[in-house]
Amino acid sequence: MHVLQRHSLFIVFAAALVVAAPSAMARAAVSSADSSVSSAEVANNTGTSGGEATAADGQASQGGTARDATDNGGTSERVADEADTSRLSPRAKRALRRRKLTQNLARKGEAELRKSVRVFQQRYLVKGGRAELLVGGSVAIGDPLIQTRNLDAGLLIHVNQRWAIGASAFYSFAAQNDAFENIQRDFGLFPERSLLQAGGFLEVQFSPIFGKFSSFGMAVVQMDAYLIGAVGLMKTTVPIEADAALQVGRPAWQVGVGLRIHTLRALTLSVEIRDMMMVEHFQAGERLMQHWFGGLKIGLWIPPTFDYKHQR
Amino acid sequence: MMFSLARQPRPALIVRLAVVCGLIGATLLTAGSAHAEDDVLAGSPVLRRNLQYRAGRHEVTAIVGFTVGDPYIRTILPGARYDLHLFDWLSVGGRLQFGVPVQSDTYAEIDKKVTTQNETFVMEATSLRFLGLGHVSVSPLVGKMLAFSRLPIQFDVHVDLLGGLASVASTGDALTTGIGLSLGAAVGLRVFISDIIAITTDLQAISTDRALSVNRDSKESGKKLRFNNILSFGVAFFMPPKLQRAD
Repeated sequence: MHVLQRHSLFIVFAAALVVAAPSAMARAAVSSADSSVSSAEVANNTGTSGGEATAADGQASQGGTARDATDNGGTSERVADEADTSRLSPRAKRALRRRKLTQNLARKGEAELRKSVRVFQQRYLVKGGRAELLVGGSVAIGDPLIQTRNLDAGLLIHVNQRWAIGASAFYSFAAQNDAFENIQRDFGLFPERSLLQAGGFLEVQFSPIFGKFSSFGMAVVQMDAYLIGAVGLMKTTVPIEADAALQVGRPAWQVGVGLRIHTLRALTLSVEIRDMMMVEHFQAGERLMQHWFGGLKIGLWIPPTFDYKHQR
Repeated sequence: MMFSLARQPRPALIVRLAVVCGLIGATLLTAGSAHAEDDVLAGSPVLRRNLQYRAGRHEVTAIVGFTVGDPYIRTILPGARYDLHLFDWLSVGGRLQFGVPVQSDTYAEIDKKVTTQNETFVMEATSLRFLGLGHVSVSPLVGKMLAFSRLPIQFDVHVDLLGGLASVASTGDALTTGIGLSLGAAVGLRVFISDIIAITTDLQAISTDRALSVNRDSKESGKKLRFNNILSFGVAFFMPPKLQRAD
């Protein structure tokens, strides 16, 4: 009896072992599959060839044949995975299949997203740390008696996106106009003339406004609007014998506004209105002169190109 | 005797404006290459589903203008402007402005100095009394801006072709006055501070046939076709308040 009891215990133990072994192997296979998927995902995120292998793996599981896996670069290891999967319980197989389908959908969605979404840099134009060489011309819009045209040049250092400092200069071509001659002819009066000759300024620009515009949907052009403040010297035709220092030029200052249109990445087109002010020394006395100029300038960025910190 | 703020009429203003518009147009044409990249958006429209601030709306603007270039009498021109925007880029309308003359320093100085030589001299000069002009307006440039990194602003630049009647007044009896045909052009900026309110500024050049002043013999002198430059500022109200969206 004692012997029979021993034998029966052995038989029960052996039977339990036979029943339990496949489910334990199935659990081991599932955990192995999970680890392979997670390592592949890491490879995909880092952009290595492992990402391609993962995609092929996904196609293989979706297609469900070893041939697909081989066609997509699958190896004997992948075929072995298929064999391992065949030993799983139906429930584990369904769970594994759902997980893989979910992962495939996620990968497909990301791929579609990458195709359809274009990432723009936050700033189209980087001004900070670059210089802008400017040349252009302007015309006086405020003087009723004198017609003045200026040849302008300047160099700006853009400290950052908003602030710039620099120097500007102009050379004037000024002459009296019809109204001036009418006063001489019609009234017998001879106004004292003050013709601008040249000037130089140190200036500061502040750009509070950035924007873009389009024309009939042809293209989108970036721009920024800026305020101008400057101090410097202006030379006129009115002689001053009393103070030799003023012969070089009278102290002058200016304020203005401008619109900088960013055409190509290396070129700008700026439209400006400036009010240049100075105190002129006429024979009748000193007088504040305001010279309003509207101008157009072409700017060349130095360096002409730039790189984003994070390229797209 | 120098006068810095008064301005001389210049017939070439429209030519200058045309040159500026041409340069901006050339800029737009060349700008496309700056954006050309081989991506999924290649060949797709530059603008899609954008809000149209003008299309199908009525615009009423309260304006005040100032003549730029009258050496003897500057004119302040309050008035109103109406636009029916047929499309986002095209409108038709008209404006009415009434002139309030303000004598310049030059006027007073000439009156004073010439009278010392000729006691019978009385200074006279002409000014704009009334403007009634129709216009066709095209908005070739439409865009948006961000002020101080937080305030979004929509804007457009428009060009107007003007035609109508202009009345000329005088400070005396020696100069020819009356109503005449007036043609001109204008360029302006419209900045939307909300969906229904915009701030506008325009520079217009309109023609009138007039003499600026008498001569020292108190006779009319130099009557001819002149362009009068007017700088206007205004507040515009748009109806209906709901904006359309482009395709």
